[in-house]
Amino acid sequence: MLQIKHLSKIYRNGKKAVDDLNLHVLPGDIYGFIGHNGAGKTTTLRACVGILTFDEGEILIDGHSIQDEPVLCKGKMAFIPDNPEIYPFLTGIQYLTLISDIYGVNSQDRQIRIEEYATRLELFPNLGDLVSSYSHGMKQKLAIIAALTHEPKLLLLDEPFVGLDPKAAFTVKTIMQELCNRGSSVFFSTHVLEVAEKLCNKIAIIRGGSLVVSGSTQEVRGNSSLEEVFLELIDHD
Amino acid sequence: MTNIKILTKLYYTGVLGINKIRYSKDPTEKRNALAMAILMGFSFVFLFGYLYNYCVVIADVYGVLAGYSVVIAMMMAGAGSMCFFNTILKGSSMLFRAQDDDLLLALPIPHQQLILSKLLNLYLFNFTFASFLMLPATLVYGLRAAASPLFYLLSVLGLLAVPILPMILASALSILIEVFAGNFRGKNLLTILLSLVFTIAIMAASFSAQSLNMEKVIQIIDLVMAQINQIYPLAGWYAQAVTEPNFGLFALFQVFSWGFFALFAWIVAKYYAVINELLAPKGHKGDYQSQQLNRSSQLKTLYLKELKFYLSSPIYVMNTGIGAIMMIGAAGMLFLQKDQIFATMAMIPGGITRVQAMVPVAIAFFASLTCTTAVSLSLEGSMYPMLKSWPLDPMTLFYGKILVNLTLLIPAILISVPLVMLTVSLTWFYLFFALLIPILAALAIAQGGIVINLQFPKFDWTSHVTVVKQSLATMITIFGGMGLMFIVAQPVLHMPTSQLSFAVMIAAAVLLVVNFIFYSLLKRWGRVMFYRIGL
Repeated sequence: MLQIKHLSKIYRNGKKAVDDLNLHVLPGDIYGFIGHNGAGKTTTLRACVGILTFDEGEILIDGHSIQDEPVLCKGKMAFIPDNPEIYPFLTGIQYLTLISDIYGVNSQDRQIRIEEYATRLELFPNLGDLVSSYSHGMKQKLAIIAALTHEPKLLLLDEPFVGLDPKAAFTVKTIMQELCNRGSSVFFSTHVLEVAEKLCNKIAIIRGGSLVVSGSTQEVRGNSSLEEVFLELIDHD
Repeated sequence: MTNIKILTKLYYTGVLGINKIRYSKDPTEKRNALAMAILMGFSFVFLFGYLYNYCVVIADVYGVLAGYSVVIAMMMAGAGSMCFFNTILKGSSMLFRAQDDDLLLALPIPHQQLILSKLLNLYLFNFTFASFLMLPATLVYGLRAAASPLFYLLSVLGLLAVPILPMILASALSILIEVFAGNFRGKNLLTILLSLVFTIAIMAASFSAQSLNMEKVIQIIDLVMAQINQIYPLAGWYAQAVTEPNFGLFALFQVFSWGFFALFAWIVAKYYAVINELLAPKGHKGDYQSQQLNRSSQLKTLYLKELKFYLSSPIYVMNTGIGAIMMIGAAGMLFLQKDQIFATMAMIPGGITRVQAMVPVAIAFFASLTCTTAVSLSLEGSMYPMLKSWPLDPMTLFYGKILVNLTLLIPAILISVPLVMLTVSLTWFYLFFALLIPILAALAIAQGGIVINLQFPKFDWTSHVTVVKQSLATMITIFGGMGLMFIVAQPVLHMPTSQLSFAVMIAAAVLLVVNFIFYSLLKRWGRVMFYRIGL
């Protein structure tokens, strides 16, 4: 579903944020992307969704290049940034309608999905309110609902559990699993190693823009906990 | 005092982008900052020269009969109006519930010092505007009336107090509007409406000043001064105080202004927490009921989003919509003064024909002053990266933004042209071009605005003011639009009367070519740039 081949990204200030990164996310995978601050997680995610251009390599979404067929690729996926910025002058439902129109979701599907996800995330009563009145967690929930309205084949999330209350975090994890059971894939960055360990079937660890290790969660952690493996890999060259 | 100094320094470091120039590692950012500084300098020189000439004209027209102090009084009324207008748009948001309020309120700084620093920032902002209007007036009066050094001394001291009263009144009014408007949407619409009413009132006042006929010229002193006093009574005091000089009135003006400042600062500091609470966003209603969700095209949904955004920002509306208002105002003024204009034009051979030919270009000039698109990408701010992740052709987004500009201008053109037709009888040929040329100008300025914004984006803003009023894209678009209209007007201004119909066709052709160039630029370069900026 997502193939990252030899991805390198150098910023204009000369900093190499990602260096020859290779990853393969298959349908049904919940893939955790772990690394310390500034390791290159967000840069990689942003390159995957077409926000960032990159210098070398290739990113394929369901077999299509994000550089050559950006609109087609973006139509298959959804991205939820770490700090969801949502137009404050719109109401929740207006924002969801905007996103549904952008992704070309028909009236019936959007009605069903918005009602379902908004109810499960306990945001439905607030959909008529202006986004400017929302808390951080409510904006996060709205961004998640918006990302799910077109049933993406690939869901990319940057630190999805920051700002969510425990119940909402549990619901989001359940939704991620349901999505993958239906054949979609989830690729997300996180600092919460316990969540990655329990939720993901695959994990990649990145350090200084380079991939340190990737594979099934079991392979990566071996007999240790993910926290121990992560600290050992990050602290030692 | 130390806290106030630190907070003021912090504010101006952000507003002037000093750190960006000093520490940015991005050469493009540094280059843009330098270009901005050069353009700002050029704008200041240009505007100062324009205002100086304006003051000379006032002195020539009214000064001989009314006394040169009328220059001071008129510009003082203008400065007061400008301070009032600026503050009503941003006063409340600068004083209360600013983006950094949570951080500042948590610091061990007394409320009095916090509010005083904010008032000081607001004051310095207004003082800059007031100085800009008052300095040319002071110079013109000083030179024409051969004023003594005492006049200059009193003017400098008086200038310090010029912005205070309008600033305080507008701040109080903007707080009241926000408190009573209740919610986000209501507040913004009310602010826009109020600001529009205020702008139209100013335009009407200036129009009625210009519509004085020559028979009444003998009463000009009383009329002009009465009008100034109607707009801003303190202007009369100030003019009298510095020009006579009248020390009693000068002291009264100073005490009155600074007294109001102190009183307002005291009230606001005392009730800071209460006012902040009153201005806080109201809790959500949480009463959404399921409704039919209809599907729209990408273009329609993006256009509606853009329009909602536009109407949610009073600063955006008032700064970019002014051309459309001025267009209708000018057409109305032309209608009301048609006898006078035609009497003058009839005396010039071919004058009427030239007026007919000038109509399309004149309307197009006002259209070129309204450009919502030049900052429309910048105003996406932190949302901009998300737009790049959406499955849409950037051209669709550009079209949505261009349509908002046209939504403002096409109705204004359709109102203005019939108004002009009531004054100037247009043949079918000129009527066609009176519609075509302004529409082409509206389209060109809208497309050009996007091109300029793609080249000079500014996403790291904390207030719309920074983007709408102070960004490089805004300035380039204003001057670019004027430059374009200057070129377009040349054939109509200089070709012989017998060839004016041909001149109008040339003007339309120039705009058509410019539109084509902008469209090609957007389709090729713009699509690529859309993804390159805002990283």
